[in-house]
Amino acid sequence: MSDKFQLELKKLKDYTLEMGEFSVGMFTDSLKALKDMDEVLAEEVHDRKKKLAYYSNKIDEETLRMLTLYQPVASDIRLISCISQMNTSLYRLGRNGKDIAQLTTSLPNTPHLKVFNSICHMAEYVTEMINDALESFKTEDPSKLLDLEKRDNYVDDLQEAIFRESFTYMMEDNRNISRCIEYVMISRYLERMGDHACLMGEKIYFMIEGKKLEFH
Amino acid sequence: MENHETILETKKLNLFYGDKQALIDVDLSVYKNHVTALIGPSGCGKSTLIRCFNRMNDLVSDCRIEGQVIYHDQNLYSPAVDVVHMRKKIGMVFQQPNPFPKSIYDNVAYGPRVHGIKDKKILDGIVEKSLMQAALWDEVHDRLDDPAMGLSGGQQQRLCIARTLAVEPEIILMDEPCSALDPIATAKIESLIDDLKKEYTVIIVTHSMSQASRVSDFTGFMYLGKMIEFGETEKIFTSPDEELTNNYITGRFG
Repeated sequence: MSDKFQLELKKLKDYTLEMGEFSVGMFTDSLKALKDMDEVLAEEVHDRKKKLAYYSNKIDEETLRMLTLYQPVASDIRLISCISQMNTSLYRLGRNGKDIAQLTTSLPNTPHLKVFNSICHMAEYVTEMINDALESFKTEDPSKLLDLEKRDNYVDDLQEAIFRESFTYMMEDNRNISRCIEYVMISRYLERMGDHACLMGEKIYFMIEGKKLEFH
Repeated sequence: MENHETILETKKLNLFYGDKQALIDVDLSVYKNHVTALIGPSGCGKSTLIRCFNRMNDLVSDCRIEGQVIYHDQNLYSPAVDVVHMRKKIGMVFQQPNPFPKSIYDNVAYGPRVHGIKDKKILDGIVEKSLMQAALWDEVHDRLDDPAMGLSGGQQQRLCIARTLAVEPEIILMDEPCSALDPIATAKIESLIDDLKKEYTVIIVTHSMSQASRVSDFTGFMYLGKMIEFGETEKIFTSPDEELTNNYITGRFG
């Protein structure tokens, strides 16, 4: 197809990377706000949801437009189908950031419990998985995708550990309940984000290699 | 692909027009009751290849062929082959609709008559069946004696397909059958191709990649006389193995 199409495709890819950065930003800032109990930052993250929706709608429109006008095939259709999945996953990621920010403002500001360290570790770990997926998408080097399944299993284990630990705190002292419920919910968000890293990873791998790689 | 019955096969097929080599070591298996599309840029050898399948290249004076085209365990190029009979079994439809300047009826009945059928009743049956199969019957059944040249381009092309079907071929070769037709006529021929594969095997050369992806089960991509890649159409159009195939079908060259 024409150079025009390739140029538009490149622009769409860059725009997706831009959305990726924006979504990851919402996600990491929401956790930072939670950690520092910074309600101003939390509010600000919450307000970014409009821009997030704009990114997502724009990518939706663009992919549909390009499918209609150019009927892409082979590596081109693989790229567009990958972007479509990434749009869903990155939108979810940003929205989870919004939800975490909301928890920060709506729940009482009691000090964090020790189990929060595990939340921070889990958050960093999941963010790295997502960043590796985005990096592979950018460079078209699939090497960082290969162990995503293993890493996702570790994330699942972390979630279970956080759940059990939070449960112990809640049984110990019912004043811990609101914080611990928050932790349980966030660990669930983080676990879902690990799944989204894998979903994106599968599509990115297919985009690059033309072969399926399935994470279970 | 292992489960499909091969009806036609080329083995190390090389073809020369004088000094110029147009086909280089082409190995291809055509599967029975499936549609095989040949794609590639102009001059890649796809039309040359399809013409080898019923020896249309015999008419080109400085054309020389090495290798084999196997059909029913016999090399089509062996001297023992009866070319007239072979062309009855392997029919061809061309780019430009080319009906004879006769009536619709006579166009379809022409082949069977040449092959010795004289009984009017039998001929009537063949004409009706062929026109039905070519999805033309409903449009022409009340004016079979009208001149074929009065039909529209799309109808003429379907008439040519009916004419091919009338002699009960096994394989139908189509060399860009829709490139002279409008989109509606093209859609009719495409849906016809899909119906035809129940009883016949179709090999189609097309310049339209979207047509290849719509109508075919298998696709072969040719470039500079070589068969670069052959495989299931879905695979070729989503994740071809060869970089060259990818670059061609995504329009990066050609």
